[in-house]
Amino acid sequence: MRQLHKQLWIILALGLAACAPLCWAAVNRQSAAHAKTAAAAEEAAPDKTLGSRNAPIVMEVFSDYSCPMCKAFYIGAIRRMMDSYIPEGKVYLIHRDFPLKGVLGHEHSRDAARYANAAACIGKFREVDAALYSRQEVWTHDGSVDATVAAVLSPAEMKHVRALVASGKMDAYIDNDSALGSSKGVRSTPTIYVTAHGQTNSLPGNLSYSLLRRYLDEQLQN
Amino acid sequence: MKRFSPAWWLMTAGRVLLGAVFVYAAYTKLRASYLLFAMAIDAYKLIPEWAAVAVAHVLPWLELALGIVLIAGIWLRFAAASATALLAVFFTAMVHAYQPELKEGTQISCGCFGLGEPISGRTLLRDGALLALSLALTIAAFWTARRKRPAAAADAASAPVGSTLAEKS
Repeated sequence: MRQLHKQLWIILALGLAACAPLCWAAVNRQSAAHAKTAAAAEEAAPDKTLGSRNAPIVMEVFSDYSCPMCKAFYIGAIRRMMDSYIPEGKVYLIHRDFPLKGVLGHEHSRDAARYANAAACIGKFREVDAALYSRQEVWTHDGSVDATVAAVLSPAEMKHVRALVASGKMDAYIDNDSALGSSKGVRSTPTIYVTAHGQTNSLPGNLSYSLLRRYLDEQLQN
Repeated sequence: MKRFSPAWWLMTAGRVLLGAVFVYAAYTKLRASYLLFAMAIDAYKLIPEWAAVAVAHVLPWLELALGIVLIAGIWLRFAAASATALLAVFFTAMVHAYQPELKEGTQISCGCFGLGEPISGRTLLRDGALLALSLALTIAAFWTARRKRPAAAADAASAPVGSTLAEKS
């Protein structure tokens, strides 16, 4: 009887030992699946924001990369805020794509938005955003969006971005942004919404930075 | 103008409506930061920034005062004429800034009742109607005042002769 018990224990131990690699493989497969899901989730939600989500002021900007006024706002206001209000946790900036349709000179707007969204999926939105605006006059003329983006990304990053653009998934994010803008009454670019103390106000796109700064400081003081 | 005559009612309704619009316009600007209104004015790029800030400080209070005076019906000629002048300036600026087909570049906000309302055919029609109302009210106010003056002169002329002779002696 004792021997039988001993044999049973040995068989059980062997059985468990045999199962261990199978369990380990199953766990790994799950992790891989999670990672894939996480990656897919990351890809599914391009992060086109700058700053802390806990900032007291939220600035939502609907823009078109081909729009000169959007570039002027980017250089005159956003880039300055990147040196002050945004890293200081005072302003949380959200970029929304609103590529204009049927407007001369905006034929490559959607393409630029695709690349920006793809870059956002791999955490390189800021670099590509800056590149698209700084070389706006070039790629809006000759369509060289890919080359403009490639100039600021590594080959591996660019490969990933191209794959994302080719997948066609970026159009859904652009359409979501456009639909959101349309629901808010956006008809031209740039359209800017600032939310502070629970109130949202629309600002003119050709505003002066000094007035904007005074307004932001006033909202931060209150 | 005879009190409670149809013309009197029309004029009263007109000034109360115009006054209410001015009071509401002042309210929408005063409840928010003056800097929002300053940005709306600055967007027209017609005056320097410091002037836009000054106007943003002063204009809502001016609108409020005008609105109250119009509703009360006092100093009607002055109030109506001031309202007409103000609306004429606004309307001219809006017509100048209006770009119906604009998609690229920002559409300038009307700024009439706070920010966020772009200049459109609708806003031009609305403000044009207010300007027309204000002009009509101004004309009516001056006309009414002018009609009162000859009546007053006629009253003086028909005073008893004795009193006049006594005054002369």
